[in-house]
Amino acid sequence: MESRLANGLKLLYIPKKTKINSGLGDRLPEAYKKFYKEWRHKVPEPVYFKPKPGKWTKDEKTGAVIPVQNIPIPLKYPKTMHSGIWGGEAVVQGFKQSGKYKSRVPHFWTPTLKKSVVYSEILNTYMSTTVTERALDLINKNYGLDHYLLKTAACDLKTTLSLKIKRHLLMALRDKTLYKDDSVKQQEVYDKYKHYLKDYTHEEIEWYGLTFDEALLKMQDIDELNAKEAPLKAKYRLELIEELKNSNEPVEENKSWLNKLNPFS
Amino acid sequence: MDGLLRNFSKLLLVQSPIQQFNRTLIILKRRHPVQLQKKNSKHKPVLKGRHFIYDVEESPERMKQEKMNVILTQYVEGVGHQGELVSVRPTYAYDQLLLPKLAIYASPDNLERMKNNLYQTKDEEKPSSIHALQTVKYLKKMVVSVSMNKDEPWTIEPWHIRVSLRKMNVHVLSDDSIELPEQPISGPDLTLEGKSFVVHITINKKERVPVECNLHHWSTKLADRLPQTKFFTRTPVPIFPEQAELLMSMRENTNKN
Repeated sequence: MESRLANGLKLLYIPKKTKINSGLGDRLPEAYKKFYKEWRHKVPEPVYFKPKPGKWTKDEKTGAVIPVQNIPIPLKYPKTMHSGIWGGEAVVQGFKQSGKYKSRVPHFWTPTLKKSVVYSEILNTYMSTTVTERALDLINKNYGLDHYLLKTAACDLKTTLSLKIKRHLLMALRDKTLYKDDSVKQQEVYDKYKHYLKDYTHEEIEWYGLTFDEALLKMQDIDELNAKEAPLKAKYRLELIEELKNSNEPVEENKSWLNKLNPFS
Repeated sequence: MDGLLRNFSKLLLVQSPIQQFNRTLIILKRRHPVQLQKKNSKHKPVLKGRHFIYDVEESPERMKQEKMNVILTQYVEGVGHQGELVSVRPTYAYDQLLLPKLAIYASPDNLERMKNNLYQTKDEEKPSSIHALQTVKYLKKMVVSVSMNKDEPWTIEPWHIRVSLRKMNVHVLSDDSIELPEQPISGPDLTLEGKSFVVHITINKKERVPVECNLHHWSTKLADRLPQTKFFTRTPVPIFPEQAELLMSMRENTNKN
């Protein structure tokens, strides 16, 4: 009985409305939806708190067994972060309280930003960006920007800039457009990074790293290209020519009706 | 006590409590823990206002940065020779070594390559020590005042230069490394006062540096002493005309730097 009831409840379940399963977003290709889920829906790695290890803990006083639930600290993602590489950092909004009977005071914990330069080996370019110390730290720990971006999931990179660079990296690897002048160096760099291509198909890279609006525009362009049909006029003309060629009827000689009117005949 | 001895080896393995993962971050902790949520619930956790009161658990930003290893791809003054594995501060490594491609990361691949001597140079091409070129630069910029007696006769010898350099905190260990001009300079001769000549100093028997010296006459009697001058900013007047060009070029280089 109960299992049937559960089945009934399943029928009642309506999936939550998200950008990619309602409205125009629903028409986006699966390749983009996969990226979007990785970017927006996946839970990022803990940055501002230390998750408790294990599944269960014991209450210190009572000894009761309690499940461990690591509830992440909610983060705010300001617009300006998208023009930098923040390495998963964001703004934490909360309160400070200096004592139990003191009033709590609102406080924002913000990352310290600094202007620096990052270097990409695949693109062979230096880029001046806003970074956090954590981002530089992660770049150093992963032995370079390229490794860091290609290894890390979109939800941990978060910012549009880093995703854009990752998109360029993947495209350059896919199309082999890196180091066009130097084929030896090209092969060397390609061999170093090619194992990252395994996780993506050709189409997925095409749609990787686009914001939602950009994806919609891209879809629109593709739709327009597909919808462009030749005008009916041209089609009918061709049909007529074909028909005339195939028809075996003798073509009447050009006898203008003016001839009939010749008064001197 | 027995247990302590038995487990002593384990104690040695315990990692230090200071472990840095995220340097600039603060690690926060909720003052009031969140109540248990429903298992496998699809809803967001229920958070009240009190759950947003945070305590700063630790701020690794304030901790000292751990050094990181890099492999130098060329000789860097004061850091190391080409192909050397050096341990430096991460900020310095990133800004000064990695971005200008003076060094590469000490990743397992690169370490493997380093073992195969891909980044090594021959000993003859190396500077004599990691600080040698820095010392060369420092000595080239110098104008050494050589104070000689105004009353007693003398001829300049290497130890005069050594003492003058020692007054400027440069300790030359052996007189053999000081090379005087070919013609001897002797005095007291007040026509030479305030004029310059060039001596050569050899560092570690390898790098030969020209150093500008300025002659000054000094007396033990206070009344006889000559007035102090800013000889180091004046354009140098050479004692030997053949050294004029060298002196001028040295001054020009220091002005550029």
